[in-house]
This record gives sequence, C-alpha cells and structure tokens, in this order.
Amino acid sequence: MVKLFESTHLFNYPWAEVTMAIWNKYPNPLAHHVLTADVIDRHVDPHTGILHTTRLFTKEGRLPKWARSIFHVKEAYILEVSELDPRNQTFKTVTRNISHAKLVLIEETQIVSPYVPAHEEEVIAIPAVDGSVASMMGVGHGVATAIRISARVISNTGWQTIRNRLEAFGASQIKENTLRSSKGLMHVIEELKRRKMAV
Amino acid sequence: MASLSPECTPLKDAYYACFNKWYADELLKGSFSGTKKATVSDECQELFTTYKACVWRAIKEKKIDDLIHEARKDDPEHKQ
Repeated sequence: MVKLFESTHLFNYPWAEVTMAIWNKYPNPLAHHVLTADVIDRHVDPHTGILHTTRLFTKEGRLPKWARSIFHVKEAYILEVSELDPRNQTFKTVTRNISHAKLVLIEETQIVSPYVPAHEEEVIAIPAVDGSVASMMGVGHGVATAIRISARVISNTGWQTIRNRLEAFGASQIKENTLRSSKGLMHVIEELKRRKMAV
Repeated sequence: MASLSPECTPLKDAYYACFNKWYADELLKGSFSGTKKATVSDECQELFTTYKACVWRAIKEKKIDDLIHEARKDDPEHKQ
C-alpha cells in the first residue's frame, strides 16, 4: 500500500534567493532534529549546465512512541538527490530515508520554480517570520517561488496492522513536517537577506 | 551545521562558503551561457575534493555506504 500526499507552498521571494536558502537550510530554529548535513557528491553536467548534487542528512528518528519501542530507531539517514537547472529555473529534489527503509520508506519530491498561477491549484502561502503574508498574491507573478511537494509512504513490514499504522503515521507526519520545513526555510531566506544587506 | 564526522566540519564550512559565492556570482548570473562551459571553479573543486574524501571516510566507517548504493540503484545518474 502506498499513501500519497501533495501540496504547494508559496514563498514571496525570487527563485535565486529560495534556492540559495535551500543549500543553506540547516541549522534553522525549526529543524533541531537535523543533526548533520553534507554534500557527498556534486558536479555540473558540461553539456546541459545542470547542477547535480547528492546530500546526506542525519535526523533524529521521529517514529511514534509505540513503534520506537518495537523497532529501536534513534537516528535516520536521509539521502537527497537533486538537479538544478539555472537556465530554466527549475530545481528538483528527491529525498528519502535510506535507513529503516523496509520498515517505512518516505520519499518526497520537491520542484522549486518561479510561481505561475495554475488553474485550480491550491497553494499555501508561507508567512514571513514576523507572521505577515500581506500582498503575497499581488506581487506573485515572476517574483514569488512555488515549491510543489509530493510524497509517498510505503511500509514493508510483515505485520499488516503495524504496516497500516506506520503508513498512516507517515502520511500525517509528512503533512505536518512539510509545513514546518517550509517555515524553517523562510527563516533561512530572511536571515540570508539580512546578512546580505549588512554587507 | 555539523558534518557527519566532526573532523570534516571545518572542511565543509570552507567548501560551503566557496560554493555559495560561486552559486550566487557565477551560476545564477548566467556566466555559463553561450559557449563557456559550466564548471565549478578550480578553487571550490579543490576544497570539495578534500571535504568529500573526509566525509566519505566517515560514511564508510559508519557503514552507510551500502545504504547509499542501494538507494542509488535505480538512479541513472549513478549507475555503475
């Protein structure tokens, strides 16, 4: 069984600033569970100009208490494989846990691109750190950036009941985590901007 | 933010600083449009080589390399 989740988050900042913040996302005040972050492979394809990056993260395991006592999961290793095309301004990341992947695999795809309103697409405007969302929609064209998130959860444990519960937990966790993650990213965007202005 | 192994963190910081500058000043400004081929600057590449060697040593020590290879199996970019 696979559970799916989709969402679009909107940032009132240009693509260049959002992608720069993604490279420098940790630490931030909303990501204390992220313990380490590393670029483990990176190259630019000389023909396409696309920047290929692989990052490895260590995060504190976030299984529910009942599952933690069964599976003894403390830390999780997360792999992010990405392609950034600077000419077309698209940045695609695919992130998944590589430890305990048979227990529960959460794979999240994010596509970061300049925001062009799409028909019937629901978006969540990520507020500035001070809480303001004012004029977000008014300046959206060409200035704002959308992160389109899709995720799937697969559990392969043999116990049907445990599998169902883990998948349900994973799906609800993704929803909560993606929002928190975007708010954390907003902290980094604003911090980078402050530092740039201070120079 | 710490690296996987504490001894790699200073190498990581040096590389990240170099990369950020290259990303903002070269890649995003389109320095590679036209005939010039996109490459990471020699300076950043050198810092990355040192940092990468350190972090991969830690990956192997912690036995995460098999997990990484397993995850990359379906990825055409990393097919051996």
